[in-house]
Amino acid sequence: MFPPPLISDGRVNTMKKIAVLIKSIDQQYDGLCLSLGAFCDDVEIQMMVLNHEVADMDEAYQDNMEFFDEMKGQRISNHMANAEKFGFGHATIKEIAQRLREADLVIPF
Amino acid sequence: MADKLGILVGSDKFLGYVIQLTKAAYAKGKDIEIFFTGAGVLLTQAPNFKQLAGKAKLSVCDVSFRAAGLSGELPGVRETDFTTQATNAEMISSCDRYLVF
Amino acid sequence: MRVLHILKSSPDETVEKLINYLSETDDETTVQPLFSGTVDWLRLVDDIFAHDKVICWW
Repeated sequence: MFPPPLISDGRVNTMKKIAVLIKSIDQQYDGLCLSLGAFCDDVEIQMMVLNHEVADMDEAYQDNMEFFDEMKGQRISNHMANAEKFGFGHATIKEIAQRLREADLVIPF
Repeated sequence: MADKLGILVGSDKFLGYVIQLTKAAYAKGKDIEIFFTGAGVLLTQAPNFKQLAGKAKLSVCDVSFRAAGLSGELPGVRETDFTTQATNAEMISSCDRYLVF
Repeated sequence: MRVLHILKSSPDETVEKLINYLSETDDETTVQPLFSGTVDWLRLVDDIFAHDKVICWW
């Protein structure tokens, strides 16, 4: 379902961009697990938490989030508290839309 | 080779939509793969879940299934179809279109 | 790029904003609500494969 590789500066970029959107606190843990599980050799994952502060940051969530970071996943949120407390990159809804435009696959979870 | 449709089911709210879409895609000759994860595994207990059997390749996240306190056989789901999130990654890479319900 | 937006439930302000922003640069945007009116599922299958990108919102 992905478009052909983009050629830039003579290099072929075959990385596929996947954006996982998480809007509900109820889905935040499963959404993180889904984001982790979607990693492959040729995939970039952006996990975007919308409109809410990550709640109940228990050990399991913390461990998985650290693993997500080790896998070079990008954590983005439009909620400033997630940037200030948990190291998410902050983005406005408009900036998130731009990222979705560039994504090969968008998964609202 | 037929178009391949991947469906991720992560919610317990939309089984009716999943069934309708699967029936239509099956009628159109599409290959369909469905992966149930998170709260979506609860839909495996619904009486109309069996309508998916034979029309799509069904897989269930084993961790989510057990975490929900579920057990036993499911129509259209073999023992080897209780899998991990890797099934979703494979579905993402192999399907022509991918939807989330 | 032709983009199909499928709405499983009534879109909130965030989803509306995202679709509007995305639509600004897409060549063609189609929005298919599933929660209201009659859905032609066979046509929806055709639409899913006829569009370059499909986003199935909440």
